[in-house]
This record gives sequence, structure tokens and C-alpha cells, in this order.
Amino acid sequence: MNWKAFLGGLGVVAAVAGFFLLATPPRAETESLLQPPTVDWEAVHDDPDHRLRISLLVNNSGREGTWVQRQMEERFNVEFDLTFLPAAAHTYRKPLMLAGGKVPDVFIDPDPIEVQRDAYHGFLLEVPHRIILRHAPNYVAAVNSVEPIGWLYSHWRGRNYGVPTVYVSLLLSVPGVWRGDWLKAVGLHDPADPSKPRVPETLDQMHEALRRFRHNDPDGNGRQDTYGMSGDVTNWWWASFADVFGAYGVTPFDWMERDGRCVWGGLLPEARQALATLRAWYGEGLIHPDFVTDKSRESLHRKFLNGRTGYLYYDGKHHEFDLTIPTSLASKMRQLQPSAELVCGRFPIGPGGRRGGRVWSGGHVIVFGKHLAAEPAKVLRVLRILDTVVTDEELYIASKYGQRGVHWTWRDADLGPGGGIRQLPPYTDRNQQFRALLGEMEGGAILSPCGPKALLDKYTRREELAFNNEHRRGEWALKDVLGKPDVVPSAAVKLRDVRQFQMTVYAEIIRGDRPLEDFAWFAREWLRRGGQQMTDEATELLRAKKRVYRQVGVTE
Amino acid sequence: MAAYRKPTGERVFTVVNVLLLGVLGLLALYPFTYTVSMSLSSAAEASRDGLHLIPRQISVTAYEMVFRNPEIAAGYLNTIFRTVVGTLLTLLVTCLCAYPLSKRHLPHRRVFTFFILFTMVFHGGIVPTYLLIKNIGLIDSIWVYVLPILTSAFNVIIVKNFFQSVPEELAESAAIDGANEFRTLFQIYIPLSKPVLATVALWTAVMHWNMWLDALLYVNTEAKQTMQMILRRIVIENSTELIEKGLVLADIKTYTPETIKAATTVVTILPILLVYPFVQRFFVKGIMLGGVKG
Amino acid sequence: MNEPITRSRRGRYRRHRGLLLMLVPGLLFFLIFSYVPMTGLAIAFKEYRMSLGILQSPWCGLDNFRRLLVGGEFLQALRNTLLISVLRLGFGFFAPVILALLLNEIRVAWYKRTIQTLTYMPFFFSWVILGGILLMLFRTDGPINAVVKLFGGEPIPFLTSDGWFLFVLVTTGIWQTVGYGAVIYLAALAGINPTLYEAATVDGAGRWQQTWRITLPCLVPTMVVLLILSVGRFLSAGFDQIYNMYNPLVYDSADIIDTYVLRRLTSMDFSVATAAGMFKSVVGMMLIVVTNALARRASGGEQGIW
Repeated sequence: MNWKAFLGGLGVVAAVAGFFLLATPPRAETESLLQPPTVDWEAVHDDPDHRLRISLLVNNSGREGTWVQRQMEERFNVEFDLTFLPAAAHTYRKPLMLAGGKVPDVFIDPDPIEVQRDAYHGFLLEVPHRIILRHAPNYVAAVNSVEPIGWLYSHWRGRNYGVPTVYVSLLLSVPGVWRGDWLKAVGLHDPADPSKPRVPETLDQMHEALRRFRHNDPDGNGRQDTYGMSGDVTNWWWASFADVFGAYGVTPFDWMERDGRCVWGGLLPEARQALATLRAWYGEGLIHPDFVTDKSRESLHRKFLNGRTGYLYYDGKHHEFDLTIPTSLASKMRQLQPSAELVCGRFPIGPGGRRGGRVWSGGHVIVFGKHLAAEPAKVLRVLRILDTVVTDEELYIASKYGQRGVHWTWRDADLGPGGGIRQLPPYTDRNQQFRALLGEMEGGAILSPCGPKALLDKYTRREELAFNNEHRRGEWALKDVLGKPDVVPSAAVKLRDVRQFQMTVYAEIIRGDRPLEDFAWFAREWLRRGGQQMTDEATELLRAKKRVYRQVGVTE
Repeated sequence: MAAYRKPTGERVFTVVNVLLLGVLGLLALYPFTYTVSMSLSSAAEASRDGLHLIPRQISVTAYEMVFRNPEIAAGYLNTIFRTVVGTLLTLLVTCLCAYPLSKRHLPHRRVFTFFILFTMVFHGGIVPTYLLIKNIGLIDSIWVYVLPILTSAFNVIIVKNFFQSVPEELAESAAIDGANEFRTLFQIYIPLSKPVLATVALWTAVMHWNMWLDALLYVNTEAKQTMQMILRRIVIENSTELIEKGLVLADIKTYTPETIKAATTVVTILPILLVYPFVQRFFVKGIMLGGVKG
Repeated sequence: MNEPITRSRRGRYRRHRGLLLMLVPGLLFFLIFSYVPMTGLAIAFKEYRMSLGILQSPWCGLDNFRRLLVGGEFLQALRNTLLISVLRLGFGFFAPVILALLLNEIRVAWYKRTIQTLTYMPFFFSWVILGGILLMLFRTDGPINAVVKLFGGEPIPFLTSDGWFLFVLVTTGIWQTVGYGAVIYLAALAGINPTLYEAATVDGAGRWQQTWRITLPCLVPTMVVLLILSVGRFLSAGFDQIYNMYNPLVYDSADIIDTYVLRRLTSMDFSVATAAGMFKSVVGMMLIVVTNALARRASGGEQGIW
């Protein structure tokens, strides 16, 4: 071993380390550097005739100079400096961009975790609630009327860091889809009309239907190769069996409120009951043995479309029954199993009379770069834009769909808005849509967020509205009491790990690898692994929610 | 040399070998047939259970959709640039690096070797690397595809090893004839090391061809994107991922994600498969041994 | 040319200046693109705040490493990584060698080239695609289990049982890379002097003996180098493959360091991610040094990287 070289190397390392040690300021100085700057908002005026240059990050790929961009620029006397960050690149490139010093004036953080991280790393400007209320009152009213929980997403350590957006369609619950022909084949007919299947309404009826799917050979091929249903671990929030959990009134991967405190749904006795039911169902062979391997909706659909399962949940949406769309469930089913009949399901009613399915809540957050403390007029301009977009109906549509006759037209010329909007080619292609900065009813690319429900309903097809009112009622939509589970500050560090732990234990209990009695151990372990800290913070946030609501004018 | 019958053991072995390799080849072929079949499947066909050897319902919508993106042409050119230039430069720098290290009489040889080896194991991470690339000015430059991965310790050490197996007498005789080290390297060692250089070239070329991470992290301008990155973007924009991230709400898909994934894969792989057989001739035994005379 | 042998340092440098000059581009490259970013490893010891930059973020000592060890997930991931790597190395190291040898024995040129091209193909596919294919093939009611049932067996839970999942992981991992790995050995085989074989045949040696006494020893140096380089990456157990194939029922045995780090990165926790990466590097370096020393000891100083 060449000692001289080794020592030389060590010396270099020591020199570099020494350099770093010297260059790092003491912690007190760091904390002061990270303090949010104070802005005298009262003294700020935004002169509409003064042309502002605003750099905006668009969370999709696109092009400069589109019609949509020009419309917004002309209307609001702004010059937009757009940076495009395609979804594929978002997770990694955005933090790198910020780390490299290129912080846009305005950008959008999709999740509260991102808002908190961006604030933690010192990139965001604080925008007090009263300023938003003052300069965008209509927008605030729209948000509050749809889903005010979004205000928690922009909230961190007692300050507000942005403007939340909402998504109306997220208010709707999503039921499952049954194989109607199988229901009839196993003898479950509608008592009023024997040619129609009887869609299960209660948990017991669902159990019976699934049992018959497994054991009564619904496809009539003489083999026992059919199952009731399968799972869904597509993403990190585990949509599996949401309606069964909902029948017990619990959302196992969300925060729930009990006696004024927050608890994690997955630790509640109701969750245990749901697991017991699922475990029994698995034991009877009603659940596909590969239920945990469905990592994409496509793989889940495969089982359903090929006649392996008879119930598919979370796809009870109007367009899935639309035979004119080649990629809808109905179209594919028509090709693969021509005799199949799809019917929309109902949320099963559990023993306590509860029913429902889990949905997302809230939306994204529009945030501002910290350097805008020196140019606060830009913030006011953005607020005015948001306010105008949700009140000016024509602008609302134009900033999202583009120009009528060029980018879109009415689906039914006679019905106008009530028939819905349809894209014109080539903008039927999603890539082309992005390139032209086109969006959809619930959001456009340039500062064009979703508006109040009445506005959306006006432009939705009548059939779809009727379908939603019948099958996707808002009262059946179960939501996290805090909106999104990761709005809790220490969720950034702890949540993913404990969620993985919970998914494992749940899967093992359902499959029978673990006894149901392990549930108590699981609850304790979950708390120990960081869950307790998150629960305390969640309860704290519950109280903060009341304060925030008061500040933004939400009356609960 | 008199002809002789091979012993039975050898014949059995040959048959078994041929069969075994044949099976392995078929197994290796399967992902390709699956992908091609998928890329030509209709939406319903893509959801069908089965081995997907041949699509029952053919549809070229996936390809149509992919090629409707004019950026692909530029992407292809960028990818070809980085593959050709990157591979050539990598070969050059790797040889320049490996040759001195293969000589025992190089001063501080072990130090240099360790210096290089260390970089294979220790990395700063994506943030420091990004900051470096930014500070050098390579962001949005086409050279960001080539320079940061000019060579790797792995390649250097492999090539060094091969150089070491070239007989010393050759170098000595060249030195006696008055050749300097550069000429020895280029005129003697490199021609003799064609197999290993072909290997390194192949690995490097494939890496460049398939690489999308640097385009994702360092390149903003669409015109400078690599084909892989563009295709990846197309796939993700048409998948359900976006809905889960909440970046797109309406999940009314016009195209099936699976067929698009398959089509983009075929577009990526086809050129490599067409080129690869030409590279193979470097691995034929015995072709290289002309120059090694006593 | 008889030069007096100079023992002075400058003389040595002057004599070998050609070689040293050659090293310059490479060394410059490693210095700029590897060593400069490496200073960013300081993040592992800091509470990194991106807007302040690496230099100005405050120190936090070994906090990040401590956070790694608390909660047990990292240790579990480490255990899994070690097991999977050992399995991969144990079974996967010799597969390319064997394939190269078998290919070498084929006399029919077109067959050999075809098979070689085919075995190389799975490497071109990303695990996003391959994962999807394998998840389909190994389903409880999928084609492979259909074959199992044909032979009278019960369907095997390939994807949802810890042990079988590792089996699938290792075998398909080998299947994907065996053609790629064999290329380097084929290159080595191409360099073997055919007169050696001719002499051996004249001496009456059969094919097996020729392989054992000529071919293999010629491959050993390459194998040793590849082994040493592989252990340097010992703690990277195949992230892409696992990420695309794992599921909750096998998280316990399939969660590796890289998937753990990914969860940190997606919440922008660069400090802990860097600490975990540093840990991997240190272990990898130690393994390389040890393996290299063993190789030198076993071969009397012949083999080894340095």
C-alpha cells in the first residue's frame, strides 16, 4: 500500500472538508436567512396599464406563442415567460431547477408535501389570506364553495404560502362496475324486471353475488376459473376494496376525525372489521389470488375484461359506458366478450348503515417565488387574473379550451353548452393539446384554475350529469378530514414508509398469512414507526383548519 | 490430418448444446415478439389475456400517434449524434487512459488506478452533479450528452486488462524501432484489441441510445431532446400516471397506454437490431491473430 | 539505444512523459465530472436547504445517518439488498461465462450469430415493459402456472410469496443480462491463439480437456476483473427490476436500499438519500479492496486490478 499516496489523498479530503467547514455559516445565521421576507402589502399597488413580465412554470410540455397564451397576455397586459416541465420530468427536474437558482415567479405545486418542502427549502413567498381575499374575492368564494380544505395545503407552520385550486369532479364518488350478464346467469335478477340484473346494494348482497361468481360458474364453461374481484395497488394510496372499507365507514389510508381528534383510518376498529370481512372473502376464494400484483389499472382491467373477475370497482364513470370511445370499458368488453353486459354498481351498505368510496380532495396550490417580495405587484396581478377567469364565462372557456371552431366546438350544435364540449382534430390527441396549451373544464395551462360547480355543470353533457346524480353522489364520497394525508408536516419523512408497512400487513391479513389478531400489534407498531408523531400533528392541523377557515371566510 | 469420427459423447453434447441455446434464444426473443404484437394491437386486443404472439386485431393507431410528433425526427438526430460521437470519444479517451495504466513501469501506477476506481463507487448525487453541469454551462447543450459520461472506470479497467495481455515483446520491439508511446498504442495495441474495443463500443453505444435521464435533467429545449426522452414523454402523457399525480383530470384516454408503450419501444429498438449483426463480426474467433508473430 | 538508467524522479517522469501525457484527458475528465461533484457528499452531513445551497446549509453531524438507522426500514432494506445481491452474484456471475463457452462450441456460424443476437435482446427492454410482461406470465392463472398444472402441480404464487419472488427476480435478472455479459467473454475467447488448440488436438486432448485447460484459464483474468468490479456495486441490487415488479406481499423481502432511497428522493429529502448513497459507496469500496487483495493473494500477485 502506497502510504504517501494514501496520506496525500487524505490530505486532499481534509482540505476540502476544511473549506466546507469554514464556508458554512453558523446555524443562527442560516435560520435568519430562511425567514420569510416581510412585505408591506398595504403599500402595494398593481397598475393594470403597467405591463408586467411574469415567469410561469407550466406542468406540462407545451410551446410558446400559442393562442391561449396570447389571449391571456392581451387581456391582462402581461408578458409570460413560460418554462415547460413535462410530467415525466417533474419529480426530479423541478427541485434541481430550484436548487440551481432558477426559481420562477409563479408555479404550481401539486401536493401539500411539495408546498411544504419548497417552503422548507426557502423558495416560497408568504401571501397572507387577507390579501387573497381582498384581490380575488370571487375566486376565494369559488374555492370555498367547492372544497375549502385546499387552504390547508398552502398552510405551513402558521403561514400561508399560496393559492389553492379545486377540482369539482373530485367531489364525485366513483362506484364499481358489475358484469350484468353474470349476475343474471347466477340467478340475481331485478325483482321488478327479470331481464335486468339486480345490482347488489348491501354488503351481504355483494357477498352473495361474489360467492356465486366464484362457485356457480357464471360464464358457463364448466370450469371454476372465475373470481369475484381483484385489488388495486396502482399507486401509493391503495384503492383496493375502497367500497368494502366504505361500507364500514372508514378510509384506511386517510385521516379521520374522532371526538375532535385526528386518527388514522387504518387503525380504527371499523378497519379491522372490514379486514375481517375481506379475509373471510379471500378464504372463500372470492378474491383473485394475485390481487396485490395489479400495479396498473390496465392489469386490473385485464382480469375483468377477460372474464376472470365479475366486479371492477372505481370505474363507474359515465365515459366508461360510452361505446363511441374506443378505449372505454364498454367498447373493449364488446370486442373481447360480446355477450357481456356492464352495469354501474352501487356502494354496498354495511352493517352500520354506512356506504361510500374514497375520493381525492382539494387540488393543487399556486405558489410564488420568494424573490417576488421585491415585486409584489406581480402577486396582485396573478390574483386578479384568477378572480377574472372564474367570473368571466367566455374567458373561462377560452383560457382552457382555446378558440371555438379552431380548437373545439359543441358536441351537439343544438344543445350548445348542455351537450358538452368536444375537441376538434388534431387536438383530440393529448400531445397536441399540451402543445397548444389547451386544458379542460377543470384547469387550463396558464393561471386558469377550476371554477364553481354551477359553471362546470352548465357545460357538462346532460347524460353525464344525470349519470353522476344517480350513481356518483357527493354524499357517498369519503374524504380525508384534512384533504390529503400528506398535508401533515412529518408526512414527508414518515408517511411513505408506514404506508408501505400498512399495505404489507393488510395484504397479509387478507390473504391469511397473518391472523386477524395481529391488528392490535399493527396499530401499535404503526404508531411507533412515526405514526404517533403524525397523528399529533394531524390533530394540531385540525385545529389550525378552524382558524384558517375563519380567516378565509368559510362558515362550517 | 486424417478425418476422425467424433466420440459419441461429443455428438450428444453438440445436440444438447444446440437445443439448449435454441430454447434460450426463443425465450430471449419473446419480449420482442410480445412488444411488436402489442404495438400493432387495437385497444381491446391489448387488454386480452394471452401470450400476444400475433395480434388478432391489428391497429396502427399507436404508431400514428407516435409519429404525429414531429419532434421525433430531431430526437432521432440527436440520439444518433450522441451515440456516434459519444462512442468514438469514449473509445479514444478510454484507450488513452487504459494504455498507460497497463504498463508496469508507469510511475504511481497504483495511485492512478485507485484514483479512477474510486469514481466508480463514490458519487456526489444528482444535486451536486446538476450544479456542476449548470456551472460549466452544459445545460441545454448537446454536449451534455457526451462529456459527462466520456468514460467510466469500468471501461478503463476492462480495456487495461486486455492491453496487459498483449505480449510485451511487441511494445519493446516498437520502441527499439523508434516509435513513441502514441504510435505504439494506435498502431499496435488498438488493432490487436479489436474484440474488447468492439465490446466497449457496443456497451457505450447501447447506453447512449437508451439513455434518457440526462435529457430529462439537463435539457429544456425540445429540439435538443433525445429520442428516448421524447418517447418517454409521449408514453407518460398518455398513461394513467398523470391522473394519479393530478396533473390531468379527464381520464378519457384516446389511446391505450400499453400499445403506445410498445410502439415507442419498437421504434427505439429496431435500429439497434439492424446495426448489431454488423458489429458481431468482431467476435468471431481467430480473426485477429494475424499480427502476433514471434 | 543505451541510455543510462536515471533514478532521479524527474528522469522517470521524463522517460515516461508519453504515457503520462496520455493520461491527462482521462484524469481531467474524472477530476471535473466525478471528483468535483463528489464534494457534494457534504450534503450527507448537512441539513440541506436548497435555496441556501450546499455550502451555506447548516451542519447536522451524523443526524442523517442516525435517521437511517431508526425505524428499522433501512436495516431491513440493507438485509434484503445483501441477500438479493448474494443470490444474483452467486448464480448470475457464471451464467455469462457458461453461455459464452456454449456459444463458442457451435460450429455453424449463422446459428451462433443468431443465438447471440437473440440472447442480447432482452437487455434492450426497460423493466417497465419487461415487468409488465413478467407480471402477466407469472400470474397464478398465467401461462407458466398452466405448464405447472400440466405437470400435475398446484399453481405457484411466484409473485406474492417471498421465496418464489426472489427466485423469479434472480432468474429473470440473469435472463435479461446473460447475453450482454457474455459479450465480453466472447471477446476474450476471440483472442485465444488457435495454434494452442491445434497443438492440444495433436496431443490427443478431447474437447472437454481443451476447454478445461486452455479456454478457461484464458478467461480467468477477465472473470477476476469483472468479479472485483461487480462487488463494487454490490449494494445496488437491481432497482429497476424490483420497482416494476414488487408488491405489498413481498415488500418485506424485496425492499432494497435503492427503493428506500427513492422514497426519500420523492419527498425531496436529499440529505438522507445522500447519506444512504454514501453508505453504499463505503461498503462497496471496502468490498473491492478485500476482493482485490484476495485475488492477488490467490494468484501470487498476478491477478487483481492494482
